[in-house]
Amino acid sequence: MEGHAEGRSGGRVITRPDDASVLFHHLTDTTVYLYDSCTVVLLHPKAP
Amino acid sequence: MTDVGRFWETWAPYLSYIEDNHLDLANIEKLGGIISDPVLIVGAGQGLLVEQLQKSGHKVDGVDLSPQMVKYAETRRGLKLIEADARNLPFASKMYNTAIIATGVVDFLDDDGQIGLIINETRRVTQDSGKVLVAFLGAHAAAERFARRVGLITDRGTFNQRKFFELTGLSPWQTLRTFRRDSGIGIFRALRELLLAAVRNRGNLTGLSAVVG
Repeated sequence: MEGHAEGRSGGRVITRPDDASVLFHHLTDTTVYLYDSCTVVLLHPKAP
Repeated sequence: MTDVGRFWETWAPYLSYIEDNHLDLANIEKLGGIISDPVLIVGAGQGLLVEQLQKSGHKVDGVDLSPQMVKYAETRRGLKLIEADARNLPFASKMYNTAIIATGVVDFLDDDGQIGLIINETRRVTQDSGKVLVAFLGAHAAAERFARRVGLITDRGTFNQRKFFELTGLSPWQTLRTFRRDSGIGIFRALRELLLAAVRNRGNLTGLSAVVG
Protein backbone atom coordinates (compact mmCIF):
# COMPACT_ATOMS: atom_id res chain seq x y z
CA MET A 1 0.00 0.00 0.00
CA GLU A 2 2.91 2.33 0.66
CA GLY A 3 3.86 2.32 -3.01
CA HIS A 4 0.28 3.07 -3.98
CA ALA A 5 0.04 5.95 -1.52
CA GLU A 6 3.36 7.28 -2.79
CA GLY A 7 2.02 7.22 -6.33
CA ARG A 8 -1.08 9.13 -5.33
CA SER A 9 1.01 11.83 -3.72
CA GLY A 10 3.00 12.47 -6.88
CA GLY A 11 2.67 14.88 -9.74
CA ARG A 12 4.22 15.64 -13.12
CA VAL A 13 7.11 17.99 -13.64
CA ILE A 14 7.96 19.82 -16.85
CA THR A 15 11.33 21.50 -16.66
CA ARG A 16 12.47 21.06 -20.27
CA PRO A 17 10.67 21.20 -23.62
CA ASP A 18 11.40 17.47 -24.08
CA ASP A 19 9.38 16.67 -20.93
CA ALA A 20 6.32 18.23 -22.56
CA SER A 21 6.83 16.20 -25.75
CA VAL A 22 6.90 12.99 -23.72
CA LEU A 23 3.82 13.79 -21.66
CA PHE A 24 1.77 15.11 -24.57
CA HIS A 25 3.04 12.60 -27.11
CA HIS A 26 -0.36 12.32 -28.78
CA LEU A 27 -0.06 15.91 -29.97
CA THR A 28 2.04 16.96 -32.92
CA ASP A 29 3.69 19.87 -31.21
CA THR A 30 3.92 21.95 -28.08
CA THR A 31 5.33 25.35 -27.27
CA VAL A 32 6.90 25.51 -23.84
CA TYR A 33 7.24 28.74 -21.87
CA LEU A 34 9.79 28.23 -19.11
CA TYR A 35 9.58 30.72 -16.25
CA ASP A 36 11.41 30.60 -12.90
CA SER A 37 8.33 29.60 -10.94
CA CYS A 38 6.27 27.70 -13.50
CA THR A 39 6.24 26.13 -16.92
CA VAL A 40 3.34 26.71 -19.30
CA VAL A 41 2.79 24.36 -22.20
CA LEU A 42 0.78 25.54 -25.21
CA LEU A 43 -0.77 22.52 -26.91
CA HIS A 44 -1.06 22.46 -30.66
CA PRO A 45 -3.79 20.28 -32.12
CA LYS A 46 -2.87 17.13 -33.97
CA ALA A 47 -2.92 17.62 -37.72
CA PRO A 48 -5.92 15.89 -39.38
CA MET B 1 -13.89 13.71 -4.77
CA THR B 2 -10.40 12.89 -6.03
CA ASP B 3 -7.24 13.00 -3.91
CA VAL B 4 -6.31 16.27 -5.59
CA GLY B 5 -9.75 17.65 -4.76
CA ARG B 6 -9.44 16.65 -1.11
CA PHE B 7 -5.97 18.16 -1.02
CA TRP B 8 -7.26 21.55 -2.15
CA GLU B 9 -10.31 21.38 0.14
CA THR B 10 -7.86 21.09 3.05
CA TRP B 11 -5.77 23.99 1.83
CA ALA B 12 -8.68 26.32 1.05
CA PRO B 13 -8.56 28.31 4.34
CA TYR B 14 -4.82 28.98 3.82
CA LEU B 15 -4.73 29.57 0.07
CA SER B 16 -4.41 33.35 0.40
CA TYR B 17 -0.85 32.81 1.72
CA ILE B 18 0.30 30.88 -1.34
CA GLU B 19 -2.03 31.62 -4.26
CA ASP B 20 0.16 34.19 -6.01
CA ASN B 21 2.70 31.54 -6.93
CA HIS B 22 3.79 29.55 -9.96
CA LEU B 23 1.18 30.53 -12.58
CA ASP B 24 0.91 33.83 -10.76
CA LEU B 25 -0.03 37.43 -11.55
CA ALA B 26 3.39 38.17 -13.07
CA ASN B 27 3.37 35.11 -15.33
CA ILE B 28 -0.22 35.52 -16.50
CA GLU B 29 0.72 39.03 -17.59
CA LYS B 30 3.58 37.61 -19.68
CA LEU B 31 1.07 35.33 -21.40
CA GLY B 32 -1.30 38.22 -22.10
CA GLY B 33 -0.36 38.40 -25.78
CA ILE B 34 -1.63 34.91 -26.56
CA ILE B 35 -4.82 34.97 -24.48
CA SER B 36 -8.03 35.75 -26.37
CA ASP B 37 -11.65 35.76 -25.21
CA PRO B 38 -13.62 34.04 -24.01
CA VAL B 39 -11.26 32.47 -21.47
CA LEU B 40 -11.76 29.49 -19.18
CA ILE B 41 -9.51 28.84 -16.19
CA VAL B 42 -9.54 25.25 -14.97
CA GLY B 43 -8.44 24.97 -11.34
CA ALA B 44 -9.25 28.62 -10.68
CA GLY B 45 -8.79 28.31 -6.90
CA GLN B 46 -10.18 31.41 -5.22
CA GLY B 47 -10.16 33.44 -8.40
CA LEU B 48 -6.81 35.26 -8.33
CA LEU B 49 -6.23 34.90 -12.08
CA VAL B 50 -9.91 35.24 -13.00
CA GLU B 51 -10.02 38.57 -11.19
CA GLN B 52 -6.76 39.75 -12.76
CA LEU B 53 -7.83 38.89 -16.32
CA GLN B 54 -11.23 40.48 -15.77
CA LYS B 55 -9.49 43.66 -14.60
CA SER B 56 -7.53 43.59 -17.86
CA GLY B 57 -10.82 43.53 -19.76
CA HIS B 58 -11.03 39.82 -20.56
CA LYS B 59 -14.21 37.77 -20.48
CA VAL B 60 -13.32 34.93 -18.11
CA ASP B 61 -15.00 31.96 -16.45
CA GLY B 62 -13.36 29.85 -13.77
CA VAL B 63 -14.02 26.34 -12.52
CA ASP B 64 -12.67 24.54 -9.49
CA LEU B 65 -13.23 21.08 -8.08
CA SER B 66 -13.27 22.26 -4.47
CA PRO B 67 -16.56 23.66 -3.08
CA GLN B 68 -14.55 25.54 -0.44
CA MET B 69 -12.47 27.30 -3.10
CA VAL B 70 -15.62 28.39 -4.93
CA LYS B 71 -17.08 29.71 -1.66
CA TYR B 72 -13.91 31.62 -0.79
CA ALA B 73 -13.79 33.15 -4.30
CA GLU B 74 -17.16 34.69 -3.65
CA THR B 75 -16.48 35.90 -0.10
CA ARG B 76 -12.98 37.22 -0.86
CA ARG B 77 -13.49 38.60 -4.35
CA GLY B 78 -17.19 38.56 -5.13
CA LEU B 79 -16.56 36.11 -7.99
CA LYS B 80 -19.01 33.43 -9.07
CA LEU B 81 -16.82 30.49 -9.98
CA ILE B 82 -18.29 27.16 -11.05
CA GLU B 83 -17.75 23.99 -9.03
CA ALA B 84 -16.83 21.35 -11.58
CA ASP B 85 -14.60 18.36 -12.26
CA ALA B 86 -12.09 19.06 -15.04
CA ARG B 87 -12.81 15.61 -16.47
CA ASN B 88 -16.45 16.53 -17.03
CA LEU B 89 -16.88 20.23 -17.64
CA PRO B 90 -20.44 21.62 -17.65
CA PHE B 91 -20.01 23.51 -20.92
CA ALA B 92 -20.98 23.03 -24.54
CA SER B 93 -18.22 22.13 -27.00
CA LYS B 94 -16.02 24.90 -28.44
CA MET B 95 -17.25 27.61 -26.09
CA TYR B 96 -13.88 29.13 -25.28
CA ASN B 97 -11.08 30.62 -27.32
CA THR B 98 -8.47 30.11 -24.58
CA ALA B 99 -8.46 27.50 -21.85
CA ILE B 100 -5.84 27.68 -19.11
CA ILE B 101 -5.25 24.72 -16.83
CA ALA B 102 -3.69 26.27 -13.73
CA THR B 103 -1.02 24.73 -11.53
CA GLY B 104 -2.42 22.27 -8.97
CA VAL B 105 -4.40 20.30 -11.57
CA VAL B 106 -2.45 18.28 -14.14
CA ASP B 107 0.88 18.80 -12.38
CA PHE B 108 -0.54 17.22 -9.22
CA LEU B 109 -1.28 13.99 -11.07
CA ASP B 110 1.18 11.32 -12.18
CA ASP B 111 -1.45 9.18 -13.88
CA ASP B 112 -1.18 9.80 -17.62
CA GLY B 113 -4.69 8.44 -18.14
CA GLN B 114 -6.22 10.99 -15.79
CA ILE B 115 -4.11 13.75 -17.32
CA GLY B 116 -5.36 12.70 -20.77
CA LEU B 117 -9.00 12.89 -19.63
CA ILE B 118 -8.53 16.45 -18.38
CA ILE B 119 -6.68 17.54 -21.52
CA ASN B 120 -9.26 16.02 -23.85
CA GLU B 121 -12.16 17.55 -21.94
CA THR B 122 -10.47 20.95 -21.96
CA ARG B 123 -9.87 20.62 -25.70
CA ARG B 124 -13.56 19.76 -26.20
CA VAL B 125 -14.73 23.08 -24.75
CA THR B 126 -12.08 25.03 -26.70
CA GLN B 127 -12.55 26.22 -30.27
CA ASP B 128 -10.53 24.39 -32.94
CA SER B 129 -8.47 27.48 -33.56
CA GLY B 130 -8.28 28.23 -29.82
CA LYS B 131 -5.44 27.71 -27.38
CA VAL B 132 -5.04 25.27 -24.51
CA LEU B 133 -2.38 26.24 -21.99
CA VAL B 134 -1.29 23.82 -19.29
CA ALA B 135 0.70 25.09 -16.30
CA PHE B 136 3.17 23.11 -14.23
CA LEU B 137 4.96 23.88 -10.99
CA GLY B 138 8.39 25.25 -11.68
CA ALA B 139 11.53 26.16 -9.86
CA HIS B 140 14.76 27.99 -10.55
CA ALA B 141 17.48 25.72 -11.95
CA ALA B 142 19.30 25.68 -8.59
CA ALA B 143 16.14 24.66 -6.77
CA GLU B 144 15.43 22.01 -9.39
CA ARG B 145 18.93 20.56 -8.94
CA PHE B 146 18.33 20.40 -5.21
CA ALA B 147 14.90 18.81 -5.75
CA ARG B 148 16.35 16.11 -8.00
CA ARG B 149 19.19 15.33 -5.60
CA VAL B 150 16.92 14.98 -2.61
CA GLY B 151 14.33 12.95 -4.50
CA LEU B 152 11.61 15.58 -4.70
CA ILE B 153 11.73 15.14 -8.47
CA THR B 154 12.19 11.53 -9.48
CA ASP B 155 14.07 10.11 -12.46
CA ARG B 156 10.78 9.56 -14.30
CA GLY B 157 9.91 13.23 -14.00
CA THR B 158 7.34 13.02 -11.24
CA PHE B 159 7.10 15.32 -8.26
CA ASN B 160 6.98 13.74 -4.80
CA GLN B 161 4.53 15.93 -2.91
CA ARG B 162 4.69 13.90 0.28
CA LYS B 163 8.44 14.42 0.50
CA PHE B 164 7.96 18.10 -0.23
CA PHE B 165 5.69 18.59 2.75
CA GLU B 166 7.98 16.48 4.94
CA LEU B 167 10.89 18.80 4.07
CA THR B 168 8.95 22.02 4.60
CA GLY B 169 8.22 20.89 8.17
CA LEU B 170 11.92 20.52 9.03
CA SER B 171 14.27 23.08 10.55
CA PRO B 172 17.09 24.32 8.27
CA TRP B 173 19.59 22.04 10.08
CA GLN B 174 17.32 19.00 9.76
CA THR B 175 16.82 19.83 6.06
CA LEU B 176 20.58 19.98 5.53
CA ARG B 177 21.08 16.64 7.28
CA THR B 178 18.30 15.03 5.23
CA PHE B 179 19.73 16.52 2.03
CA ARG B 180 23.22 15.18 2.82
CA ARG B 181 21.86 11.75 3.64
CA ASP B 182 19.70 11.49 0.51
CA SER B 183 22.14 13.03 -1.96
CA GLY B 184 25.36 11.49 -0.66
CA ILE B 185 27.35 14.70 -1.23
CA GLY B 186 29.68 16.47 1.20
CA ILE B 187 28.55 18.92 3.82
CA PHE B 188 29.94 22.07 2.15
CA ARG B 189 28.53 21.23 -1.26
CA ALA B 190 25.22 20.27 0.34
CA LEU B 191 25.10 23.58 2.21
CA ARG B 192 25.95 25.54 -0.95
CA GLU B 193 23.26 23.82 -3.03
CA LEU B 194 20.67 24.14 -0.28
CA LEU B 195 21.36 27.86 0.13
CA LEU B 196 21.28 28.45 -3.63
CA ALA B 197 17.98 26.58 -3.91
CA ALA B 198 16.47 28.54 -1.03
CA VAL B 199 17.65 31.94 -2.28
CA ARG B 200 16.74 31.38 -5.92
CA ASN B 201 13.36 29.95 -5.05
CA ARG B 202 12.52 32.16 -2.09
CA GLY B 203 9.48 33.69 -3.77
CA ASN B 204 7.85 30.29 -4.03
CA LEU B 205 8.67 29.23 -0.50
CA THR B 206 7.81 32.33 1.49
CA GLY B 207 4.06 31.80 1.48
CA LEU B 208 4.34 28.10 2.10
CA SER B 209 6.62 28.64 5.10
CA ALA B 210 4.07 31.04 6.53
CA VAL B 211 1.52 28.22 6.52
CA VAL B 212 3.61 25.16 7.33
CA GLY B 213 6.12 26.82 9.63
